[in-house]
Amino acid sequence: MSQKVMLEAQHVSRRFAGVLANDDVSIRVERGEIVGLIGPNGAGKSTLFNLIAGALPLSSGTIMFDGEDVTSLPATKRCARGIARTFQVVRSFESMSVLDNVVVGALVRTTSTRDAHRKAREILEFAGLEHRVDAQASSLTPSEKRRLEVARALATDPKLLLLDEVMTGLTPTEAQKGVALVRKIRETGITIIMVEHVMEVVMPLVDRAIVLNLGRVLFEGKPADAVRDSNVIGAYLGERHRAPSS
Amino acid sequence: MLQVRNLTTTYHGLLAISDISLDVGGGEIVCVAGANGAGKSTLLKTISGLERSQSGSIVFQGETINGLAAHLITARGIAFVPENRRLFPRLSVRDNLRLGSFLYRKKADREAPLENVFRLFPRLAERLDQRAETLSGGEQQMLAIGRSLMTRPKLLMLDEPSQGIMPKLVDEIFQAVVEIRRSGTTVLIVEQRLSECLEIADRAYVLQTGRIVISGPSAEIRANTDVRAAYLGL
Repeated sequence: MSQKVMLEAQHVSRRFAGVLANDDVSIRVERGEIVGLIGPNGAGKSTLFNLIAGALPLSSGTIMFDGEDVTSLPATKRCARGIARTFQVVRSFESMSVLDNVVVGALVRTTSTRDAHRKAREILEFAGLEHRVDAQASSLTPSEKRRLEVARALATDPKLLLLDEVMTGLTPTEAQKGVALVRKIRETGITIIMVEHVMEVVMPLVDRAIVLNLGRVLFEGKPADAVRDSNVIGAYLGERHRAPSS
Repeated sequence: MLQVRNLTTTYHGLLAISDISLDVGGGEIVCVAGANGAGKSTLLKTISGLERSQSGSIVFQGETINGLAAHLITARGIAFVPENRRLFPRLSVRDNLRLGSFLYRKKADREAPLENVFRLFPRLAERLDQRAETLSGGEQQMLAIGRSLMTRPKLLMLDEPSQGIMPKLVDEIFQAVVEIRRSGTTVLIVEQRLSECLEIADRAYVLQTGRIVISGPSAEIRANTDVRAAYLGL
């Protein structure tokens, strides 16, 4: 595996009671990329996400991360190797302060609470939550909670960050701030895979789009090419609505 | 028949639909389309009383219905077939249908719509004693529609009836929708698969991230090249 490749899923399948949610999926993500994982409902995006993060075991196939086979590692060990994720339905520790939520993430890399606190403050400033450090997590607005989710993941010092619908439900202004944060994260050298429904936000942002449909990879390439691909259009708009040949 | 004005609904504090206005005339089939996450399901859930709106109004046959409990909205004549159908899996086809007729006291009134349901979906009549969970996806969708017809609705709302169903049965279900309209029920149908839906709908609205971005008669929507951008963002 070349040094350029951060993550490679090879022939990954996952079956749920007879339904193939992921069917022989092979994808490759290079270091420093922002990749969008998109597709209609039931395409298998969340399943693939969970297989990469280690939240679900594979039925077959291999997950290679940073040159290592991590297929059989649990989520905690993958996190230690450098894979961090956010959750679509935020999983903040509601009764804890914003700072302590992020300290939990930082403690993946250090046993010193002092170091963890310092790190957490840095990350919160980076994520634009410095004014909410002492607030209880439950008091945050929905868009602040998304930021907290991202901050906690960043505190684990990931090489690969998996963002699960961080833009969904945000106002256009909040979404633009979200886009700025994602770009800033990439500038620090972190590779990003994002599952996202808000297409007008995700398509201009990502370097490459991977389109899943019915558990399989339908398209992989530039967003501008994805939206002209007749298979992609068929999957979203219906089989009888193909792209005009141009 | 149905007038929605400036409807906004939030979900866990996040914006799901924003400032939606739409009309459904008596006897129409109207399609609301859009990619996943556009807010289609939230719109139907709000109209049916399963979600509360933040602001805006829903007027059905001249009366405001937002704020009413879901079963009272059903009693006014709006039936809702939710995504994933929500059947009672362990109950028979017959009992699932029976539960749809809860509005009526007299047995004769409760059973009257059955004939209509069997005419639309003969497969259900053949499987009356089977548990709902043993039906195929397409048959389950037929049962869910049949159950909602047992309330004898004036307006039938369908949430993605084509989802997870083989293409042949999708056509059958869409044909049944045309039949349902012919027998006098107005239909509001939410679909991601716009092209198939336009074949049966009179008019369509396209949602993008919680807002209506395109609307018009089906023929106009079919020719509109902005629709792709509304789905795919570019």
